[in-house]
Amino acid sequence: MAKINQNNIRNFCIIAHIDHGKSTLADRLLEFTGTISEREMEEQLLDTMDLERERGITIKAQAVRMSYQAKDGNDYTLNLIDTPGHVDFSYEVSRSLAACEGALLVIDAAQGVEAQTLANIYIALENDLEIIPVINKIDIPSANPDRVKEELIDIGLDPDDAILTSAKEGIGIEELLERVVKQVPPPSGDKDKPLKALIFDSLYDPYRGVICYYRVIDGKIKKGMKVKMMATKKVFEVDEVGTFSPKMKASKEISAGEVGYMSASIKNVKNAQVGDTITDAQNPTDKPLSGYQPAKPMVFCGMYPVDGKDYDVLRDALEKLQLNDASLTFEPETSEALGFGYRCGFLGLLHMEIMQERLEREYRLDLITTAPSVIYNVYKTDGEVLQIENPANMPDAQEIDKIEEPLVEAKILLPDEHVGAAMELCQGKRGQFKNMEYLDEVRVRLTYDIPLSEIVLDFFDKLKSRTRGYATFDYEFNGYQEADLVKLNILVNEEPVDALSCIVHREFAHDVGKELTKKLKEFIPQQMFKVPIQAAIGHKIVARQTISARRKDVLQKCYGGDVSRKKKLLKKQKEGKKRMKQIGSVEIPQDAFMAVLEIGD
Amino acid sequence: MKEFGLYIHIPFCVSKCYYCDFNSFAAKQDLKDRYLSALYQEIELLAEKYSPKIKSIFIGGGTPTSLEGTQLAEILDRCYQSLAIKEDIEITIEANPGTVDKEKLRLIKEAGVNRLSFGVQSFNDEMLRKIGRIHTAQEAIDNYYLAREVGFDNVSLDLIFALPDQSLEDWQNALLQACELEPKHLSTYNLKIEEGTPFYQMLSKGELIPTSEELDLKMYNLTKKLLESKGYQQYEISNFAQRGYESEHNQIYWKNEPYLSLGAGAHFYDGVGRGYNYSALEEYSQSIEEGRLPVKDYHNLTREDEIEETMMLGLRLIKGISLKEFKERFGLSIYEIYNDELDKFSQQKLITITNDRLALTWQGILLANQVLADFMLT
Repeated sequence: MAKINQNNIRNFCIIAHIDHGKSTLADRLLEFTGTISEREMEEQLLDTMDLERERGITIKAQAVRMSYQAKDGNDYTLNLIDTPGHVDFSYEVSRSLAACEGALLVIDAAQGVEAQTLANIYIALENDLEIIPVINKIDIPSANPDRVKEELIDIGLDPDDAILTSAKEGIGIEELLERVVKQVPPPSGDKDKPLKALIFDSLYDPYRGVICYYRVIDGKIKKGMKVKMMATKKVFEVDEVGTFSPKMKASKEISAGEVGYMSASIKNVKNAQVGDTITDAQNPTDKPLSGYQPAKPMVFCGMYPVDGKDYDVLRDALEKLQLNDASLTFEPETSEALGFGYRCGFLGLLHMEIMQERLEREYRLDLITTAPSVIYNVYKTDGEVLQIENPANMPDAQEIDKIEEPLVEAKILLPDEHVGAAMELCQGKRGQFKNMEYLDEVRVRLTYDIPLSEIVLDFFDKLKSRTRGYATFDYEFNGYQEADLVKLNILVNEEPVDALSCIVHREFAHDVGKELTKKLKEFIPQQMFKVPIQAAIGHKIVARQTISARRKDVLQKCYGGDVSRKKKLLKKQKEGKKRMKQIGSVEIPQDAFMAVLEIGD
Repeated sequence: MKEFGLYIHIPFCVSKCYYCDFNSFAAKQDLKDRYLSALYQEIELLAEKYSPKIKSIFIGGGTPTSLEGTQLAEILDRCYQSLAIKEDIEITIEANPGTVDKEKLRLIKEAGVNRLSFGVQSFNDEMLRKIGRIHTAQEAIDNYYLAREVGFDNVSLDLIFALPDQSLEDWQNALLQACELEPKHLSTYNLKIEEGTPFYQMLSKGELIPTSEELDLKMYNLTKKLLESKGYQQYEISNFAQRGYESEHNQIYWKNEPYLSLGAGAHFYDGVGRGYNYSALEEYSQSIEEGRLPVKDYHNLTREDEIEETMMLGLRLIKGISLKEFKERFGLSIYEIYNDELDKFSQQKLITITNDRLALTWQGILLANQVLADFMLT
């Protein structure tokens, strides 16, 4: 392969709100540049995980290298970095963006600028990226590119700069590539300086260990070289380097300005975390790239195998997933009700859902997941400070001096007709109003400080339903704040069930207790005896419901020789029981442990 | 020679009742003729395959008595010609009021039928109309006495409770009227609304309100109490009889003993596996006309299957399961398989174990599905 002239390299990414057509656009670029033939084309090629394709979202970053002969007659190497589109992964987005010089800002021609779009523009601007606005989906009937152009002015972009495309129909693709070549600056690094490369993603491959995706800023990286991860200080010998086409393709070296991968017998992604700087172990660069943060989980839940025998399978599965995902944490935990399991930490709710789904799908685990919780700082009267991530571990009220809970700053973007409904919701979720601004005549941005614990329950779903789907929402961590919180215990058949307890604000405790017991009554099937369900604060019962006893359950018509059908019914009944957890003498179905998510509908 | 019960299915009815999901058709004469000639050939094919010794015969439906008396007689005649049939066995035929007359009854009696099972269902004309029956209460009573007059001594009546809008009082009346006729045997079923029936559609449209569990329970409790006071012993979850008149044929099912079958959609258990015939008349007849038994599906039973089935069927009998017979059949004691379950259910007083027998208690009968489900091994 001919040496690549650094001036002919363009590194760019695509940023977009979920559903604005990022992946389809990426597919068209690959097709147009002949990187892959139409035959190889699978829809959303860059989203490789089954789950990603099914949900139509990008979970992991991906990179691909394209060759393009521009109208100026020169051959260019275009490195496209696809970024996750969800708020849970915003740190990964910011790292991916830091690996580029330019960004295509994709905006849906019908939906216009969304909260996520804005958040991404800020990250792009922070990284000094050249932004090329792309108004996509111009083919759909509700498209209104002119309105979107006006919105571009409001967010400080030049509307005349915008390219109109339809990724679906293949419109505007060539123009877009030309603009990337013209507008995105070539990388500026120096290949003769000591190695400095930014890891923007890493994934675990069972045969080769961790594969790091990086952008070389200065210097070069090649096989056999000893490299050092500057945050973890770990040293590895490089086994292989290469580029993406989009499959990995080994090459001799990757030098300044380029994007590539490397494998170096790294056993765990924790040793090659996103944001870390790779340097030459023998001749290190003096300063790492800025902005590295270790992945930090924000949302926690308990995960328990329905069948206690699967405990080891669950541990192995979590270990395997963690190899690939440094932000996933887990620690063994014991619940009186659910037995042995793990308390797992996630970046956010989507991350949690995805992990849960992967555990159930890829490892065929039948899991009970408890309602998501956050980390509380608990100051005890004896001076001890605890970090409580499981409500069951909350000390008795009399031992507690004060409790602090995490806050987030939530930004909600919505049409002004829904502002009332959204404000009401935020107020109900203990939000503190901070700001309201009009982005144009109709679009409003609300800013609230809201306890994270309220967000992790069902905030987003409620926001969507109250604004008929028009609101978009983004949040970031905003410190801790003292709050008057109490632990709400749930008793089933007079027995406290630790896995059902939750931490709530004192003011709402009665209401939550009432609604939660009501929901549980819906979830828990009739047993052979009467089952009271109670909510209590300390020893004080604040709500009670009773599930009446199942008194008759018998198949009377059983003549005729069709035994198989009757047996099938019994087997189904037994299967249903198996999916329940025996708590004392009561059988509780899996989803009851998430009942708290469904209250207040 | 292996002994079997024999079930013969007649898939014809005058009209379909609103709750029925059995294999039955309202059919014209030519269809019936083709069916019967296939059925006669099936007897030959069955004889060839199993050389069975028959220890009970049950002709069910559908409505067997929707056929002519001569046709029914011929079915039995052909069985006697081609199969080894033990002496003095129980031969039952299901009869629906409105489809029998003196001549038909006389013919089937002469052909060897010695037990009649009348589908009376209710003694309330309004109720009968609402569930799609073609007869009135009086016709049922008349038919019953006609049968007695012709010489049928062993008659059973089928009754359904928990019908839409049925009161406890209405059910009590049904039971009392049935007892007045002094049948030897009574079967009482609660209405179960099955998918694919008109009732099911009505239910999903909200036009039919299912009976509450509470009323259903009261009706069932009443059934047991009232019938026992009139001299009928409950011997199975849904069956009551005067002493000595328990149905031989149905006990074959509950004891998990083998039975063969003839006719469209009929199920059988040949002691090795379970199977069933084609339900569609065309497929059924065609298979036989091509000289093959019309078996649509057949699978061998594993030992686990047989254990489960012995439990789920045997515990339907009030006397339950003999522990000794269980051990003889499976080579393991019941405790070696079900220790935890037996322990739990004994504590919950849902089962009793006395001398040699394991049986459900009355509480256990009421919650039989919960108990039986736990005896499923997989």
